[in-house]
Amino acid sequence: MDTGGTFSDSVIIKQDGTFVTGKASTTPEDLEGCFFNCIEAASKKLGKKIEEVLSNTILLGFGTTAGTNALLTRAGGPMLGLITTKGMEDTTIIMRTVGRFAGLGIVESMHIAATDRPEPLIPRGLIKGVTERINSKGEVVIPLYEDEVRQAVKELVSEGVEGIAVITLWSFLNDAHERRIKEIIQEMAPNLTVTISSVVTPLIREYSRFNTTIINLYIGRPVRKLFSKVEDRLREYCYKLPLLVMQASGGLSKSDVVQPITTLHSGPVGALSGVEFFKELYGFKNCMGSDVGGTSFDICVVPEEGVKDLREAIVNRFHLRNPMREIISIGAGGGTIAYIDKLSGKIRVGPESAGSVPGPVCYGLGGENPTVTDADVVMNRIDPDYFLGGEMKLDRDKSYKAIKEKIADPMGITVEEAAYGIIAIVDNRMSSIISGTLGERGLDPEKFVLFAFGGAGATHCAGYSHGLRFDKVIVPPFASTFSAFGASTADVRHRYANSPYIVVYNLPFDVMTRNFKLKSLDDFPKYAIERFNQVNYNFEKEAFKDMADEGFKKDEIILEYKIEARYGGQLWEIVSTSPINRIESFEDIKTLIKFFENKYEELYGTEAKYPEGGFEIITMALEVSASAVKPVIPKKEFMGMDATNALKEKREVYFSGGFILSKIYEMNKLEYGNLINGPAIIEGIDTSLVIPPDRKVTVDEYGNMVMEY
Amino acid sequence: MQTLDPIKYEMFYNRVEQALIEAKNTVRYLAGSVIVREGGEVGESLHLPDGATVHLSAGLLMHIQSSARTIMYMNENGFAEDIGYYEGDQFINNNAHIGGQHIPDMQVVDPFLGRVNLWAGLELSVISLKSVPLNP
Repeated sequence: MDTGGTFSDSVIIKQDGTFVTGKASTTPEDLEGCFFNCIEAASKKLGKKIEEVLSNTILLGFGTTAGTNALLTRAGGPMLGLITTKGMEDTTIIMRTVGRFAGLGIVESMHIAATDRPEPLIPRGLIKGVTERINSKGEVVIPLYEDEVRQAVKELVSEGVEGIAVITLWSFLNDAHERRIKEIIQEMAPNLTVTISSVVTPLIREYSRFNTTIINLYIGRPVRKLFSKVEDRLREYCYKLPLLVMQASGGLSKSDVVQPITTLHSGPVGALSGVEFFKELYGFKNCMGSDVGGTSFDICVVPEEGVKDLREAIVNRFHLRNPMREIISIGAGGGTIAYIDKLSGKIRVGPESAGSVPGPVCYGLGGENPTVTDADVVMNRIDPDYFLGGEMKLDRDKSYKAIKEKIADPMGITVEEAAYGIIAIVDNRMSSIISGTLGERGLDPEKFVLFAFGGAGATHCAGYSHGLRFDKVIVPPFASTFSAFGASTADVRHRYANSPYIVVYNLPFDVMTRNFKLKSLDDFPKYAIERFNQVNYNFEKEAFKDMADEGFKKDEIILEYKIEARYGGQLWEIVSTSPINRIESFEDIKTLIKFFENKYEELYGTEAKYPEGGFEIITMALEVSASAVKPVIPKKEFMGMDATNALKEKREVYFSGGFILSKIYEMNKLEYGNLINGPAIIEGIDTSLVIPPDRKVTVDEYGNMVMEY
Repeated sequence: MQTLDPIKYEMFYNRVEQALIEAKNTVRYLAGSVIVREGGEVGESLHLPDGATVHLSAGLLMHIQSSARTIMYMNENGFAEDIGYYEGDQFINNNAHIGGQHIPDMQVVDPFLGRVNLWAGLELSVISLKSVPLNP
């Protein structure tokens, strides 16, 4: 299950690995409703009732936007208080230098004086400082002044807060004070929800740690409420197993152990898992995913060496510390609004979206601003009578009128030219972000296969891949439900991270090679070795317990250790896998340091090495995963190139320069081997693949549509 | 005067913007500085011959006008007449009195000459290249 900004999608995988998909409008005010509507839609395709399907289901994965919605809209968010170390009360108010323009678009960030800071989730008046201090070694320098804590709790309770976040300095090294503050709050106000940073995100860097802890508490209630309501109804339908939730760091986890913060932006990560699934299925080396939804255009790069994690993601203008897999997004999708810029008098498309309500003008739900979908309808790329298989009728006249009044007439051009302009501009924006993302990483599109999905991905992929020299563009027939499909391919995964802040100065080094030159294990401090080993031991203990709870044995799980290390005094670390999980011998420490030095040299060169500064391991992490039930896509029988059986009709479709009579094919009737030359459109129930005159599409053995020149 | 095609203009504008973002991020991935690579302290800009800024990448916005000031300084101090500007030149400045706001700032400006003459500007911070000596 995946709830997107506009539509919710479900995929039901049968025992033989084949699957059916379902789609329903996302109802932000009732996310539980669209969850079950969607499963019902897919169940219907199986000819079964929802209770029949759910009672026989052995795994249910769920990607949700409940947390994202709560953060974006701030509607009904709880009133929260914060207790922190005295002197740190203004951390979220002052932010970091980049806090002011983090998450803004390029135009907004160029007019920084016209912007304002993001509104803090906890106002300054509800942030209380208490005397205590733990230092960077985890030692208590000043004990916790409990009377100050009691006074702070008393004041916050009298203000009417519904929850309290507790975040103290260096609590990731010693959480005693945070835990004691929590105990005091629970003694004094047992009904308050309390979150401590050492549980949510025991990681260094105050601003993002503060944000992560506060947002986790802020979105916690709506997210947990949704999980609880969904689970209650699932029980009614006799689904007795745990609900598994998609996480932004990739993978599924049980809803009762998942931190709400990890559900932010988890939808696009589901699609990324789907791209990884196909990469393995086809045996491709390099793939890229492109998802055009109603609101945003999301891309992910899946190169040979694997997907990167973002160290500090930005969500709704806030830096977060919890890891997320890298998804690049811009505001461009079917619901993206086109308008005339008042200042320049030029056509602009996005980033604002009409969302699902009111949605594009053609939906007839009150939308007045022309969108990308309206332009597609006017150009006859989308059949207004066959949207969602005919379940939803679109009003072409309304689209035409809106584009005429808001774009064409003010610009002095025809409605078709204006519609074409809207499409050309939005496709160009999407194309630019793809070429930029690959270009800046030094990657060549010719060595990549582009997967196009999302409700509008098939409609726009020819446009946004134009001129980019991709090896091929692949559109799955279930493109519009690809995120849900991807979530069904994900592994069960947990991630544990901690900042042990292992700082080692005065290590001997060779002045010529600039490499560390340790003579024995004694050159490395004993505390550092103990801390390194202890952190990984703690991770493993938690990991084995959590995976056992999920039903996996030790030999079924995969462990991946990570470190973030740097030379002493530097601001940022190198993130990489760790070659060792214990330091038990001189050989181990040599392996660890050599690994870091090689990685650093590879990135920055020999001369940039700085052994004079010492060696610091700032953060360590363990990722544990186990394979869940996966879909199987059976190979089809070759039926020849002739696609006449799937030919539905012919209609005039606007391509560059004017209307061209184009063949319209039924997606469901296409078979392996069928070849379709443009200009043509392949219509599915929930998506339309547009094939321009210079492209052709072949259906491959998995039923996917492969677009080439 | 030629009439501007509004659609082509918008597409061109997007391409310029994306080219600058791409250039900025390329430098991020190549830079021998942890603060540039991991912290993103870098910006790219496009300037007219007199130094006026055409467009900027997102990034180190508070410093990015340093490239404009560097170009203006060169124009005002006879660089064009003295050594001349040629395709492929790169001028590097780390004098905070000319451009930049503090010592770690560095600008690289290079002219590209053709149908339209422009400058490309790069502004980056190199503070962490060798870090702060902790144990002098």
